[in-house]
Amino acid sequence: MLTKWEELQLIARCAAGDDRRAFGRLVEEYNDGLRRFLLNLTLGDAALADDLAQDTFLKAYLAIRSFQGLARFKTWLYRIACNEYYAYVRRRRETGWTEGNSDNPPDPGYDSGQISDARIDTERCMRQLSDTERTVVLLFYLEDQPIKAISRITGLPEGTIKSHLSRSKAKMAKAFR
Amino acid sequence: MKPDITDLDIKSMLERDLPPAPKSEWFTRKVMNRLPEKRTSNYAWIEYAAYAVALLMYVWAWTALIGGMAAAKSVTVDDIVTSCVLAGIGFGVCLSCASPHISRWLHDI
Repeated sequence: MLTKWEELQLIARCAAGDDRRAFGRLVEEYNDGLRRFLLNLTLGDAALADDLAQDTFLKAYLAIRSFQGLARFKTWLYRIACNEYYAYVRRRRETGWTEGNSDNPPDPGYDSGQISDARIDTERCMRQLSDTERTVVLLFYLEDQPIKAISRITGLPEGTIKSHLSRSKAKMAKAFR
Repeated sequence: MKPDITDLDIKSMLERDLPPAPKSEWFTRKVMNRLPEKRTSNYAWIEYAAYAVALLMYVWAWTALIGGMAAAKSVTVDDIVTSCVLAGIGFGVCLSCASPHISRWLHDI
């Protein structure tokens, strides 16, 4: 795992000298976590998650000179990823797709033949949540991001994030009854 | 199932049940292939041309100084001061040319 100093060195090399090897190192470091986050945000659509992850890294490369180093690179990267996902959702909405999670057919990517009941329940829980709630839940519980970092990533106030977490928790508790 | 769900329950559940990203050996390669073409720095030749002109002028200055001293067959205080100034200028220009490369080398090690 890169330290903050190593990360800043790699970013500086990318920004100042267009060092592709340094950027490749950043991609290797963060792609697993980012793809997992996007996979679960998209409810198991592996192809979509992969495309969004690639777009995220591409946008990060193009905007790397604007990275100010005030937060960790991961926070900045996940912010781009969330923006990419929401842009995708908006485009889908414009073509008539709605956000009714429980009404959506099961997404491809989950191998329904081999998953356990517990996993089915968990995935059903995730489908009950709105896109924003799911984002906040994944960042808080799976990515161990503090509320402040989630606020930076999503652009939502901390109070709103706490509300989303509280509502999500209630929905998940209800789903498991 | 318990009526109340704790943060720890949710965290354990998500970590246990949500799928990890599928292994992708080619992901980094795919991203790197999508990056735009490396921009050639159009301004680099200006820098090198400036250093070349500076070098020519520097050589001319030393030639003129040494030629003057040889013609006069003596070395004055002014000649010594001029030599020191020229040496300082030469050192400064060399340092400005070499310092980005030295910095990069120091970071790499």
